Amino acid sequence: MTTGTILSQWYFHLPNFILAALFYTLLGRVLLGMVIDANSSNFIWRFFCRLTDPVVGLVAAVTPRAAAPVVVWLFALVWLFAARVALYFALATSNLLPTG
Amino acid sequence: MPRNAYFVAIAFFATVNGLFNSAVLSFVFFHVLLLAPAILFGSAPLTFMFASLITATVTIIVAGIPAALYERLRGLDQSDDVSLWIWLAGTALLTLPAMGRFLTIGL
Repeated sequence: MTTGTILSQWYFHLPNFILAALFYTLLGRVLLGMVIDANSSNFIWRFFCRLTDPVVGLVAAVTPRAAAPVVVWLFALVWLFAARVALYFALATSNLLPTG
Repeated sequence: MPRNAYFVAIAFFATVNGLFNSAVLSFVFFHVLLLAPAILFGSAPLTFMFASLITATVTIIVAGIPAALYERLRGLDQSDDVSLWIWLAGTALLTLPAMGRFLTIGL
């Protein structure tokens, strides 16, 4: 796929890239959270938290308070995956899905 | 009812739905293959297990929305028994389509 094709199909690639980046960053946060303190000043940890906090905040709003923070992060992973599926589905049913 | 009993029951229903709800499972399996092949090394068994896990988690998440809304409307700082009952009942309701196969096949 050429750069020109990717640019002309930005409406799929841009949101898909953002959602995938958030997904993998959140996955990194979950994995790093197992070995690092929540208040750590480690810059990778802080970067992961800063990038994914908005998503985690949204997901926490629709998650019962009984769920622990790490559970909310895992739920956020599934929400992000569902968002990618929804994007794919919406474009596929509108015949706007990139081909090739 | 003890708090852990709610969680065990919620996890049980979600597991049943994740394993036996073939319609949702095949939909999720297809999209996992399509959208996240890298994290599962392209392995079909791993993809199936991941799809099953996602389906079970989605069951818990969707069932948790009414419980979370109830907590926000009541202004609760912690989940109470009513909220956990809503969560459990929601999970059980979402698992109904899978119950037939579960009762036939079993774990």
